[in-house]
Amino acid sequence: MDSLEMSQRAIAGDEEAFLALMQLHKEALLRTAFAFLKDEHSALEALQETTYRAYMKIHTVKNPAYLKTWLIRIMMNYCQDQLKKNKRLVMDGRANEASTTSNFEQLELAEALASLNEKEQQLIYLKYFQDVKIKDIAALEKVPEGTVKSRLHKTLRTLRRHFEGKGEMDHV
Amino acid sequence: MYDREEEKLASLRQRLDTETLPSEQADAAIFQGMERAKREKRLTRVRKKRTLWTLAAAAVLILAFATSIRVSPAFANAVAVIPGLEKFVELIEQDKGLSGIFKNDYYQAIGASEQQGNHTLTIDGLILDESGMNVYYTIESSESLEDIQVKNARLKNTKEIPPYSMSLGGPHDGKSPNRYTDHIEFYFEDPMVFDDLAFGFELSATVSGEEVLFSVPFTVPEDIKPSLVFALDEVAEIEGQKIIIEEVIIHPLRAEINISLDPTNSMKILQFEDMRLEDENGNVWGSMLNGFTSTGNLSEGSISYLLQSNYFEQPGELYLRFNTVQALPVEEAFLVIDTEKGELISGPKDARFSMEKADQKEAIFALSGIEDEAHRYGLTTGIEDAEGKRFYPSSESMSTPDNEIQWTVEFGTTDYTNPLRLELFAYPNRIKGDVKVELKNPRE
Repeated sequence: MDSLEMSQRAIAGDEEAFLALMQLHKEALLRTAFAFLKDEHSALEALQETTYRAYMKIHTVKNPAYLKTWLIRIMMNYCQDQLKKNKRLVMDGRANEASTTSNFEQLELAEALASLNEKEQQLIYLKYFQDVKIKDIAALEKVPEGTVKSRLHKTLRTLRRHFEGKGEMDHV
Repeated sequence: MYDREEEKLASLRQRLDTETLPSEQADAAIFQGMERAKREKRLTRVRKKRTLWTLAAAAVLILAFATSIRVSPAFANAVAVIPGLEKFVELIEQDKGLSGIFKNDYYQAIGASEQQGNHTLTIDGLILDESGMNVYYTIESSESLEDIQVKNARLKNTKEIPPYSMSLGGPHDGKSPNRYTDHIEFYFEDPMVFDDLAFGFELSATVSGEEVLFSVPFTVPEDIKPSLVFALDEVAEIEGQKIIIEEVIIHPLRAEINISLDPTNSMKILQFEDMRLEDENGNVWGSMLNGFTSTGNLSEGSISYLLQSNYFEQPGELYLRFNTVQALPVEEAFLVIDTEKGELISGPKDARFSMEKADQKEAIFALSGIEDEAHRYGLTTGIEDAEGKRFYPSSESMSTPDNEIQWTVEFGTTDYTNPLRLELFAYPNRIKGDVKVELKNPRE
């Protein structure tokens, strides 16, 4: 069973195909979680939640070719919601469990993403970490390719300012 | 133009890609997420069906209140000594099946309990048959349980229990703040026989806003009694409409009447108002139950009606009988409405019926001039939009201002294409006859 067929069957409600599909994209989903969240525990929780949401909604997916990207987007939306929640917790002055077990390796990435708004974060992540083509992003967002390109430029410009501010560009 | 930024991102990606992943835990997370979703999907399905019952149950409850409740003191005392059952005396006395169960000691005392923090749940006892399980339980706590809300309950067995329906979570009775008694009726949609009588009972509730989850293992001490099946396949006719009585199954907890309809009928049968089990002298042995009254959907052609059981008490002769059936000509048995134009395009050809108001989110229908009638049924079941998308109303409520019944149907979504087609659940247009089918006891 190739991945397209697997996707089609999962959309049609085949439980086994759904499980196989989640196995297939597990790595990409976990890495996405690691890019946004700071520790393993939160990432695993995010994977569970993504599986749950995907199972509930998979019948609504129209194009099986975009299934992986669809899953990644569910994951990113969840992670971004979690980050917002954590921020609120910190502002409330309550302990933020997630941040006590930070994963320092990815701190730089998390900081860079934090300089962008949520839409821009997703755009950068899909384009540079998941190699999703601009054409496909445009199709998913139902906007012209040109719009995606100009958004991408604007986002890279913001990132440039971020990296320059950190004085890190020289090390690359 | 942004080469350096792109390079930087590539190096960040490289670092992310070399991160070791907790592969086994990831599999567990996927599994758990999927189980949770499956469980919830099952529940939503059950909940959808339950809205139908709730409507029918409302109709039946009204009848129940109309009849005065007389409980024989001897029986009341007998039941009241069983822990946790005091508050059910009336309910049990009113239900012939349940009183038969208690008189014949088919109720099984359990006494298994589990403590969670300050709260202890004890399963006082249960009744199990092939159609379901009633679990009677008590929660005691050092905290007040007055605001307790039972959220969900589940039965576990080595055998997979297919989707079932249940009724649960009565309000706190206000008698003792630290004690809550309730019973849960699990109803299996297909008869179940368990080889392994070890079960797990899970119950989640919130107390003062905090979630508590109990999980109590227990074993049913005695084998369950087999149900009696009367295979009938008899075709009954009322005003030319053919109704096929497929079988009657008498379980200790309830009698199940399985009915299907002839697809060539010119009228659509909506409700059986007076389906009952009678003896040779016309005494009613089993009428509609409180709570669940039916499962399945008449618009899909077949349905199970649930009546009180006569399992433990057999009269000389037993008949299934009904006289009054709600029905409408097939082409009038649904409403077609346009919520944009606020227009009722078609529906029952009845001058008393109208659509008062409609917008994207809800529609209000009214039936006027019904002072003599006690029609206490919901109006609609499922909805289909112009493109064939099916959904259920998120809620339907009924009010009865002067000589009028009003139903407010909330769609729960605005994502549909007009016109909408609403299946009718009940309608006060009746056909009459006298259907009487003898049930010959297979035990004789």
